[in-house]
Amino acid sequence: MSGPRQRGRVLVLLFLVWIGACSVDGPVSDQKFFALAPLPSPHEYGDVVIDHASREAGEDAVVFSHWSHRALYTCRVCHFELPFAMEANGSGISEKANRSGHFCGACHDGETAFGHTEENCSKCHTGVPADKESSFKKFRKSLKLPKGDYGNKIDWVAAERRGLIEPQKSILEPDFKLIAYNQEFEVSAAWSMISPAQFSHDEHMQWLECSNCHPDIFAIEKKGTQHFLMKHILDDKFCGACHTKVAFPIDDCKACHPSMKY
Amino acid sequence: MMRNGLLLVALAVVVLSQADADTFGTKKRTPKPSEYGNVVIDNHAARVDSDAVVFPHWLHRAKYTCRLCHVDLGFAMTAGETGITDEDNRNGLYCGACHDGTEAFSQEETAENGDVILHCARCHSGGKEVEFESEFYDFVEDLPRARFGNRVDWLKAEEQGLVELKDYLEGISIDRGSLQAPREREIAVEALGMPSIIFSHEKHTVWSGCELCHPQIFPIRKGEKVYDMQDIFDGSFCGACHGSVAFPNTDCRLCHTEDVL
Repeated sequence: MSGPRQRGRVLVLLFLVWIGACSVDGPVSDQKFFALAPLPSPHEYGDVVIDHASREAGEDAVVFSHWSHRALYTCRVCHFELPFAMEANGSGISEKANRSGHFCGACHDGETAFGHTEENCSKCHTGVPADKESSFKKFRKSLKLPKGDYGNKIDWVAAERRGLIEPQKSILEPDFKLIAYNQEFEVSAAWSMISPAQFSHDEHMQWLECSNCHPDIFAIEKKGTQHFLMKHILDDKFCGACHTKVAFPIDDCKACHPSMKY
Repeated sequence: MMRNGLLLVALAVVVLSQADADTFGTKKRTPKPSEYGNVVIDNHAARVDSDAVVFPHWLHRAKYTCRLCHVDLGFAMTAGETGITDEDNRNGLYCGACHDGTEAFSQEETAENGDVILHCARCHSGGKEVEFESEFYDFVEDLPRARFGNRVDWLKAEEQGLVELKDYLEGISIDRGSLQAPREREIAVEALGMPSIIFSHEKHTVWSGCELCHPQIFPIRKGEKVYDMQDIFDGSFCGACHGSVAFPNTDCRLCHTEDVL
C-alpha cells in the first residue's frame, strides 16, 4: 500500500502541517529575525514620502521628517488630534484640506509654522529625500540632545525627560492634562534565552494617546493580545507599528529587553 | 480518501492562519466621516437580484431619535439581524413605516403624466454611484464639529436646535408624557489612574429613552453585571452604540471625564 505516491502525499501533508504550525505561532524558526534591514542614516530615519496627489498635479512628493516635528509636538498631536494615519498615504491629505486648516495646514498656516503658500512649496515638496544632514546635525548639536545608538541616534525619551525638548502635548486643549496611568509590566519572551521586555505606560503616555495603541494594536488586557511575537513586530505589527520606522528601531534590543546579554 | 481529507484540513489551516495574519497587531483604518455609522443591510437583496442597502445613520439621526427605530420600529442593533423583507416594508413595517410617500419617499411613485418612478437605488445603493439629495459635507456644514466619527457634535446640534428629532410616529409610537431623567452617575474605574466616567442619563435619554439600554444592555440595578473596557471595545454595553454609530471610543476623555489632577 505504501507506494511512492502515498509517501509523496504524506510528505506534502507533513510539509503543510509544518507551515501551518509556523504560521499559527508555533516555534519561531523565522530566519528573518536575525536579518534586520539596514537602517537609513540618522537624518533620514523616520522620513516618510507622502504622495497622494502631488506628482499627479505636477508637484514633487513631500518628504516628511519625523525628527524635526517630534522635537516640537508629541505623536498624539498629529496621530490623534489631527487625523494623520499611521501609514504613508493613508490619510487622504489634499492641497485643499491643507489650505483649509486640516492636516499639515493645522500648523502650517503662516502663523504657527510657515504657510502653504507658493514660495514655500519646495520646503516640503522636495521629491527626493532632501539633504537635511547639515540642518539635522546643527539641530542635534544646538539642543545638546542625548545620544542614542540607533535610528536618529538621539535618545528622544531622555531628551524630553531632561527638558531639552518640550514637545507640545496638545494643540487643541490649552489646559490639557495627562491621565496618570503609569502601570509598568514585564512581557516574557517566547524564547527561553531572551530576557523579558519591560514596558512603561508612563514613558509612552508622554508622547501618545491611549487609542494610538488600544484596542486596535494591543488589547487592553494582557492576555487578550494574540500572536504577540517578535517575528510579527518585524512585520510592523504591535510595537513595530512605531518601533521599526519612527520610534527607536528594534535593532536596539536592550532598550526593551534591558537584561539581554549580547 | 482519508489522507486527502487530511490534506484539505491542513490546507485550510494554512489558508485560515494566513488570512488572520493580516488583521492583528495593526491600527485599523479610520472610516471617513461620511462613512461612519453606515450599515450595509443585505438580508435578501442578493437573492432577489437587488443590491444591498447602504443605510446612513447620519442622515436619519439628524431627523429621528435612535429610540424611534430601535424600539418602536423594532430594528435590531446588528446589521442583518432584523430580517427585513420587501413585503414588510410595503406593509408599513421597518423602513416602510416612514418610507411611505408621506413621511419620506416610497419605493415608487406615480408622476403626474402617469409614469411610475422607481426609487430602488436610493436605498439599494451598494456598489453603485448614486447621487443623493443630501450630500454629507453639505449637510453637516453648519453643524457643530467634533473630532471623531462623523466629526459632528450631534449632542450639541440637538441642544442648539440645529437638528430636531422626531420621537413619535402616528399609529406606531405610544403617546406618553416625558420622564424626569435620573441623576448623573459616577462610574468608578478599576484601572489605576483612569478617571471615572461621569454618566449623564439626561444626555442619553434625549436620543435613546430608557428602553433602548434597559434592561437588555444594562440591568437597572447597579453592579448586577460586571463589564470592562474590553467588553465595550468588543461591542457590548456602551460599545453597542459607541464604536459603530455614536461617537467612537477613540478619546477616553469623552466619557472618562472626572477631573485629572
